[in-house]
Amino acid sequence: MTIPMNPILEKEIRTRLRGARAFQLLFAYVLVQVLIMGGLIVMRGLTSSDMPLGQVGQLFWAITFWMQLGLVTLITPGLTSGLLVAEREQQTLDTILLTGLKPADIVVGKLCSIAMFIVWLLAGSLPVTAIVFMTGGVAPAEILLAYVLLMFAAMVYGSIGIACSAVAKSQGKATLLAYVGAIIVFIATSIPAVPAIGMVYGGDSQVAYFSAINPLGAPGAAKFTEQYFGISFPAWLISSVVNACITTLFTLLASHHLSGCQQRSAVLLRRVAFGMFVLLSALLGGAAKLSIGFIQLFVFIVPITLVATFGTGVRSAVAPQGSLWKRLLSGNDVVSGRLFAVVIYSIGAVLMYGVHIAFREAISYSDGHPFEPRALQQLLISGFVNAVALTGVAALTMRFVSGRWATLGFTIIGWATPMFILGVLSAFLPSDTSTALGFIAQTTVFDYSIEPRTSHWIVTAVAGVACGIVAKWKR
Amino acid sequence: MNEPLRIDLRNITKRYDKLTAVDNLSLALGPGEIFGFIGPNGAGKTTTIKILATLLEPTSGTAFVDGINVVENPDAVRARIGYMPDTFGVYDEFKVWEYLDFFAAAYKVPKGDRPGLIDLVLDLTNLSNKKDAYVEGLSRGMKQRLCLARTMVHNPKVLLLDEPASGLDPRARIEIRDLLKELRNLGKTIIVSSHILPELADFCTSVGIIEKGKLLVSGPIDSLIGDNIGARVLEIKVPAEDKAMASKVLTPLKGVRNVAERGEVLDVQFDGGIDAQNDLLLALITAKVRIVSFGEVQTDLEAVFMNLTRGLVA
Repeated sequence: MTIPMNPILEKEIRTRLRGARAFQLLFAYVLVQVLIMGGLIVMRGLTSSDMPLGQVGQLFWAITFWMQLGLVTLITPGLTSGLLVAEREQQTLDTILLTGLKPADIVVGKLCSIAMFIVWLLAGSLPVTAIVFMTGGVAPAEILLAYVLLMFAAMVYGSIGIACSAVAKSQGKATLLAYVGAIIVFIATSIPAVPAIGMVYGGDSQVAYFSAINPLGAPGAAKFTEQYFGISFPAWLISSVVNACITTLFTLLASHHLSGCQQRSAVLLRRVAFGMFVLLSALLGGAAKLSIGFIQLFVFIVPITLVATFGTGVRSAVAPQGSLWKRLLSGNDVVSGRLFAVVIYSIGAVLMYGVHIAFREAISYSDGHPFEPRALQQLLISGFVNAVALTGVAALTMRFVSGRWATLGFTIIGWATPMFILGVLSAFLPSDTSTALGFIAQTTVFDYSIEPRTSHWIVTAVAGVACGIVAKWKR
Repeated sequence: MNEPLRIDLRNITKRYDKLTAVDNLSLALGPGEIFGFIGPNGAGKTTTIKILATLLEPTSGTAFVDGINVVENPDAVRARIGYMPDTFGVYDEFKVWEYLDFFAAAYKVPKGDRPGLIDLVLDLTNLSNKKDAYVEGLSRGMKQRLCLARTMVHNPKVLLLDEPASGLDPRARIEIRDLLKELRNLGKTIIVSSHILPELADFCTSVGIIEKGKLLVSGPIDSLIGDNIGARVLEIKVPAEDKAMASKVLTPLKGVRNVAERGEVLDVQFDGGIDAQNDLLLALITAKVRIVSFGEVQTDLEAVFMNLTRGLVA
């Protein structure tokens, strides 16, 4: 089914623009911008400062754009979070699904209608943005590019909203979830945007990756390039691709839940999530400055992969402890969440390193970041040790609790136990190892800049094995 | 007859944790049949219909619509059925024709065919004059009819109507009934459920009574009444002084099951044929019982229903 023919899209557009509501929203949208801009001009006297006019224009543009970004971020989850849950509450969902429309058609149709609505809002507010052209300093192409980035980001928030709408049982919960999700993503994505924001204020060019996935960086992103595998890519392109990936994931998640969480769509979702994870990790492996690339991997790519994987809602049958690994491999049991996360983090990190090493010799990186073969070694050992420890803790937890309580119990105990054990043991160890021992045991997998000691690893592994033995013995 | 059965349920069972909603239910319907599904609330009507509509999977047993397995090939089944749920929503912000156009589009009816089709179903459901009205402004009966019109936009062979007349005033009920008769004439196979009997009695070709998930009886209405009421009831009015005599004569007669006094009349449960009934009357007259009136109490579906579900209904 092609998108322009999608009946859901047609229906949404037809009804959304019916009546006064949409136009009231547009009016409010433009009004807020006019008031803020007007206030800024009057209060700060932007135009009377001794800044060159072009720079004033750039600042002006950035503020206008950020305002749009703020409004779009606030509006989109609200618009999308009700879409599917409303169909469910109105009892119209079954009848639509019986027409032979696929859940994906419904989700994509609704999302497209929201995209069009946001384009409509942005177009309606163009006159406010056009003030920038009076001061100069901003190229029309830059503005267009920023809008493209804004649309991609809007789709990320929209797809999060629609996924929440498919998962939640009521409108209220859907809206709450959507806003929490959008805020988390907004904050997480604003970290890589920092260098690009600096550019707006005339800062120096810095190394950055995924710098415009949050459109906060969009006003500066047009001048920004990111280097992967020694090749310069425009920042907006990379960020658009990344945001498109996230949108796809959440759209799939929504249609998966709409179709009643079937095994088949769960498998598809996990494969797509894992595929994107591998792709993006490999891309970051080609980054010159690996430590910055790691930030993106940790705060961003891995969490989203995990959400997509665990959000499938398909649980493996409750299996005895013996088949724990089988459960972990299936990657769908919440009980195994922490361990699975560690495995995914490790895979991502190893992948990045692998790609990095493979291309290190072939490509001359511009910044010459020193290569540390020891880091990889540490990473592998730490990953293994953590895996052992967590398997043991998982086995022990599941010995005592099952089902829903296991989820909660393991989440708490799984995080706390190794730290607790190590914390207690650290009292008997030499003082230099005792500081933040537990913390290090948890984090050595990720942070190769903290130099872990062999004693940490031994203690962690022994603790894990002990847990496993106790679990077996209690049987 | 090469055409497959329109509806073919074989030993369908649907179990939720402890509750068995549908228990070993079998049913076969051909073209042009209207099957009335009768049972109290919670008997399993909706579950059965939802299984046919591919919304639920049976725990065991197989179901076919037009020869197609509902579990293995739900998409093909969906194209052949029109399903009207017992509780349904409509898009209030739509106009009537837009609502139908949306569903026609969803059913992949070509754009050029839609206007004619919409006029047709609107005409069939008597809503032509509401074509440009907003759905929001329709009465409940009209919404119900609109929903029925919606189930027909893709010209399905089978209609599954779950309580189509619930909550309607008598007039709207009659309209729905007439509409169903018309659809039967179009050769559609219809399953219509209700917990109210008279609603179904006069246009269904066959009925089935379901109770606690079990299909107690099913078949054409006449045979149901004959077979299942068991005894007909003869109402014989005799003077008070002849009552004892009448009872004495009646009790040993063939076909008489029970004689009960009810005021001035005797209710005789009787399962013989017409000849036996003649003989019974003759026997009374021969015995000099003065008969004031003699007649058969009209039994109907309601009586069958009450008889069958007695004590079962909570």
